Amino acid sequence: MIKFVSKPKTSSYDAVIVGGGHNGLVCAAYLAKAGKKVLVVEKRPLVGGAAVSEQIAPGFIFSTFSYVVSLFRPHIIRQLNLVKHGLQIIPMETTYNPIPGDKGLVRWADAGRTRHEIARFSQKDASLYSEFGLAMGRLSRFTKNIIDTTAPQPASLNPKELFKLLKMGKIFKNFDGNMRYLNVKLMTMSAIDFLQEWFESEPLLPSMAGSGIIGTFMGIRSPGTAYVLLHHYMGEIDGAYRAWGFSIGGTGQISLACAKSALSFGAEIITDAAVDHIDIKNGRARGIVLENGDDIKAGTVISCLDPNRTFLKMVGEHELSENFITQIKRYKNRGSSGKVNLALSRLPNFRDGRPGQHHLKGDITIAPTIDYVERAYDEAKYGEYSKRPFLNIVIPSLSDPSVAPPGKHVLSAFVQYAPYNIKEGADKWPDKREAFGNAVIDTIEEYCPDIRSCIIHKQIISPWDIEKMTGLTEGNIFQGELSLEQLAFLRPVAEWSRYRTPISKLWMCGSGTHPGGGLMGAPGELAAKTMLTEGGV
Amino acid sequence: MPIKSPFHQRTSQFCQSMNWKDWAGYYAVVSYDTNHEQEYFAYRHAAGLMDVTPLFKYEVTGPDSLHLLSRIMAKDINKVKQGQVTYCCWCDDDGKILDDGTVSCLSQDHYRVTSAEPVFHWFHQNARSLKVTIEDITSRFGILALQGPLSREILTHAAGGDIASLGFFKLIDSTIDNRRVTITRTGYTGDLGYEIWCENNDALVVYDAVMESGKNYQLIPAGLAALDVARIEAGFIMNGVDYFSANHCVINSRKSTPFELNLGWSVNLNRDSFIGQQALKKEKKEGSLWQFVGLEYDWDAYEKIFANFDLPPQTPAQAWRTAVPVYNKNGKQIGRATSGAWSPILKKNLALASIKTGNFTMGDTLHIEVTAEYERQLCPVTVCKPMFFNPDRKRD
Amino acid sequence: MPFDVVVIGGGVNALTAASYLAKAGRKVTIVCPTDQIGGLCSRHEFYPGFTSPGILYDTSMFRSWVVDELGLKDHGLTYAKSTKTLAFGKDQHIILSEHIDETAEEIAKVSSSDAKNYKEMKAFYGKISGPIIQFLNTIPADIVDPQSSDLWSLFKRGFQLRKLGKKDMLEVLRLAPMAVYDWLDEWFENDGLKAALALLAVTESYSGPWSPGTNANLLIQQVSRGSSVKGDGLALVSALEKAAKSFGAHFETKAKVSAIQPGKGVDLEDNSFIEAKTIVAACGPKNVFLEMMDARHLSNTFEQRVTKFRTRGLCSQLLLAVNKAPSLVGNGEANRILIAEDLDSIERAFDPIKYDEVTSHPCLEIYLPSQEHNDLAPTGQAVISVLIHYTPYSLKGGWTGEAREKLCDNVIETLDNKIPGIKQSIVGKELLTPQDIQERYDLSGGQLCEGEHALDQLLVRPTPECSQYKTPFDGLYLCSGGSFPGGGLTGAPGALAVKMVLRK
Repeated sequence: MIKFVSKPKTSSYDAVIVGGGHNGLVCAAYLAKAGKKVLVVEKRPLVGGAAVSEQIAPGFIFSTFSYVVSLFRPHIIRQLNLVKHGLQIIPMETTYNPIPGDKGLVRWADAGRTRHEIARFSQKDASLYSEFGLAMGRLSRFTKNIIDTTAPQPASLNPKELFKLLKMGKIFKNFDGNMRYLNVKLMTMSAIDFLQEWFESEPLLPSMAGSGIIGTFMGIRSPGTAYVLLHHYMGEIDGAYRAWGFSIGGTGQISLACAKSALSFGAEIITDAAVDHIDIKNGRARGIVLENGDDIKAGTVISCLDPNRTFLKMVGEHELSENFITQIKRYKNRGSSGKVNLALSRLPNFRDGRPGQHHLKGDITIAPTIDYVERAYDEAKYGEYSKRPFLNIVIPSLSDPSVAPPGKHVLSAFVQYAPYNIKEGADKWPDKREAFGNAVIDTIEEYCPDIRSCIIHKQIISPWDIEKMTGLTEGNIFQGELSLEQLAFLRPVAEWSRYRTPISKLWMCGSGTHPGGGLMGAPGELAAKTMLTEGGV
Repeated sequence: MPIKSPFHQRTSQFCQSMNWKDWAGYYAVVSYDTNHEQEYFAYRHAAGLMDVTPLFKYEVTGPDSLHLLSRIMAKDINKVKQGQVTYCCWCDDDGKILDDGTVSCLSQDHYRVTSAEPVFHWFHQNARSLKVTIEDITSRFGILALQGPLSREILTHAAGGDIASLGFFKLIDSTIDNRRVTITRTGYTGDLGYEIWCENNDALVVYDAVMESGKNYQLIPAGLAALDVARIEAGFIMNGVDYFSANHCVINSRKSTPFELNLGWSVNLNRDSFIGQQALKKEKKEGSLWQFVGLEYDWDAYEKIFANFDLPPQTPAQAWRTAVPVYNKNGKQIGRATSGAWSPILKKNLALASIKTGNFTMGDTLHIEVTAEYERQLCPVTVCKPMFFNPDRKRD
Repeated sequence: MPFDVVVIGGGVNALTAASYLAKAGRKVTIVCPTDQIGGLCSRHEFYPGFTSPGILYDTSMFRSWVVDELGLKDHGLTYAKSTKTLAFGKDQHIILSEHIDETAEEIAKVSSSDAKNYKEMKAFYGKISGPIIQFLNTIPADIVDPQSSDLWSLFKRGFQLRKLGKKDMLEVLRLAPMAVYDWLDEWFENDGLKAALALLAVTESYSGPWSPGTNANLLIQQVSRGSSVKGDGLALVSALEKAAKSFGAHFETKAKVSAIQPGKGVDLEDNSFIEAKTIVAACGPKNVFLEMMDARHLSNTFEQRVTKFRTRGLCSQLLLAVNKAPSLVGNGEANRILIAEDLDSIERAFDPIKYDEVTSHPCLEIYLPSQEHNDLAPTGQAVISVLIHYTPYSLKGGWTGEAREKLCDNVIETLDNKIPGIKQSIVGKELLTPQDIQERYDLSGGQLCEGEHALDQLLVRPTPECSQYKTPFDGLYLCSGGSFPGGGLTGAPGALAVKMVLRK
């Protein structure tokens, strides 16, 4: 374990990064690696932001918020030597959709076996499944190009930007007509409409579509949710078989590895140090002021916080134009999800008649029907948490025994939907939290009748709690909704999508910038690289 | 994990080598012995019994069955009479091959189709407004392939009905040990042989009866490794090895057409419309980009390559299926050999290859890459028709 | 006797296409499946003495250049001075019209800041409308299989957009994929106003105000709206019919096409055959390819794409025969009424159809045709057309008599709340569910736009092969609302398709 201090060694740095989320740490590591004197300032006692692991009950380590590694960029792992610093990701092999009183559907790494599973529900779907995967794999090359470079600027007349657009146009051009058509559909359609062009059966449809809505305030029928499906097929082009995995020791280990990497390059990290505001004079950032009054000077200040918090709390409206403030205020955060973390005395029984526990090692999705998931969304639209939510459950202790005492388990349920703005008002969440947790456990109980008798300890996290604990505005885990109008050259707002801000020497590097949320590390890396090439630091 | 075929109890009992593989989601024996040679010779000199249940099997029934199949298949299924089986391939709109397999006509409104890949959705998609039912019967039926020169004797002994006069690519309904079976005179070894369809529940009884009848004819269970050598000798293409289904090709250049695979004989262009017809007509007129050929290694040259290292010529122990480049005289790559094997009866080193049209004529000498003592060498090969072994008994 | 062109259909697009073709000297015949010309704006008696004006009525998006090019004003077309819409919200009403200042004044009665923002929003639409209108009035570029001319056209569009300036260009790109809910929320505070602006934009596709992408429809409507034709849809159809006839187009009514033979002609259900080298189909793409053509002629890819074209109907029509004209607030000037309390109430009306259920609190879009057309109802009496948002195509348990009655009751109740006394005046009624609409008007799924207006279906409409009105079959063209730029009484698909026909 590394111990962090809460006092910086000196009072002046090339760059000070506000917020020790994984993107801040990645950014720090890249800047330090380039020889800059960097300080990361984190308000909590531990680094990681929403990617942390905490021991909530003795011997049980919870990945409190972010629970799986999705698209952490492999080149970042290579360039920052993260494996040397303790990072180890094991792939999740299965996706399980339980159905009460049935064997449910398990999709395995083994194509033949998956086909047999799907054939129980539809012969047609079974025979199409691998073809769908191929088409998606092909299209994800397009997506990879988007997430691994700074956002293209369509309004720019800079030849470099035009060239980038041209390059993307070329990839598009190299697709055959069918692929291009598919791409148009994928970028605009709803997950369900898109999938229904291929498949017909439940629970395959809702379970696949579910991945299109995670963390967003949209339903599987909302247009624009289809493209997220691609993320599940990106693993292959990253050279890995599977895109999703667990970090050994919990998600926090990723943050720790990034932190250690940053330290190894000479960066400094302080914790338990809350930033009061960013010090700005004449439209230029000069440093930060901590809540304890300490003043730290910086050549460049980089905010890893979400745009709302960065500009409305850390910078202050008086420093910004009215137009910019309006844009930041209308930037949608809208937390839509919660977490229920359970410490279990034993593995719950799914009553599915399946032998062994292999099928429980990956993610377990509670999304039995399309209507089930859509109804969950309908409730949320009007300010209520879903009584029967869409759940994405993982039991990481099955893959990584170090996170629970022997024979015991940790279960983490990602819950959608839990709107931040419940109709009683967000600050009434503490009164609703217990009932919300019960709705989740009731839901799990329909599949594992013995779940309640297994629970040793539970942690219920509403979006309000996420905001309180991590500072993420409205508890949005992606630092802002991943809807089309808030992506790429529009993230977080038009004309400021290149990590710069209207304040000179203030930059952004969090998920609120391109390419957005998820445990990717890409915003942090791209921000650092942009700053280094454009003389930002 | 793969699932078990209805014959698994027997095949696992005989499979001493524990050499299995996953074939379309089923456990399949690669070779029963640690060496497949015995099994290969059984196919060629006596008879081998192989479990080919993993083939995808579909039943097409209803008044429009023929309509559907003639729309899908490149071959004119209208010509297939009751009691007949035919080998055919099918394509996408661009005339690129999707898969190949057999169609058996049980009656004018009842067909069975086998394929290497799942095609349920493809059949289904093309059945709009047709009165036809498509059913995946893969897991309902077991199939045994009884292949080899003595297979007729064995089957005559084991099964009822007039097996002796069952013609090449014909089928009959029969019984084996009182269990109903359908017997087709088909196979993938390029030799005399039969395939026996039975319901799952009858599988073990049928298996035992056939084995019992084969006792006096040196019938042994045989596996995929032996089959692979036999099919290369016969010049039979394999989906996923010698070509790729258009549905699974990420890039267009990887797709093939029937003409490019030497399957032009199985395409009937001038008839009612079928999928890919326009594109295939065009290709027929304009010529194909590739040609599918056989390659025979120049044995003396081959020997010499190894002799240079003071080694005896090393022939592959098993059929290989990792593509190797093929060059013309000037050292320019003009194609690839997709699979090959040492033929134990022909005493020849063989390969199946796709070569760009216009770079050769039959009988030409080309060069294939050979690795000897970790070094890449070129060995001369003669281009020939992709059919190295074709005994009369196959059709007689 | 062979024709040069046969136009299938009898609606606004069919008439527009036929007029253009006849004007260009082609020998044209229109084969209209019903006895009345007009398609979705054709009459039928639904109760003794009471005649329906059809379903579509709003002509404000009918292209003025089509009016000019076809000289429709010479055939009796005049524009209404003002078209007023009475929008009922919760405990309030606003009268909207195409006059911005007038409307702003109305809005000021409920919110002064909204009145100011309304003007600003209209000014913004005005500013950015140029490239968008141009885009909507040009044969779309083929983005799936682009030829160099398509690339050039795309480049031109991009350049025109860029000419708006960086800020506005980015704003257009931002607003298009948004949900109308969020967009209107950025501008306005009054719930009733937001609902009134949103209702017509969200009901063209399978979406509610919360659905991303709906803002593109609002944008398209806002920039393409102009003055309405006096007498609405019926008057437009009659002017078009006269124009077509004056150019020499031949009409054949009650002629249902049973099969299309591209390049040869069409077979009619009465077994007659009309010979024509060119066929222009102003009926939905699914009707054309899945019903009128032999499946064997369609390639697998194409057939799959046509099948996947989404045409889910979501709206029913209730026709009411009333024995006295309803008395409305606001001097009775408005001949159309919207009833939607707020955006959430529209969304809540949308929710149930996803589960094949129907709301008990529908949002209503009402048209009072009798003011212009006194022949639709006996003197002193009136016809009311109510479009009910939303209703599913297939209702769980079926559209039984009981289910229909219940829906009618809910609608009439809602109506009576806003227009007291209407309930007592009803003497007859007819309900057309999406299934009935499909049946009566030959509309796939009962979808009034002949295909949902979702982003992907606007960019490539209906399939890549047919996105430029051409089809994979020589001599067969499409020109219904199922082609770019979509459904509604715009005349654009008809006019643009003819450009493509004449290009060949």
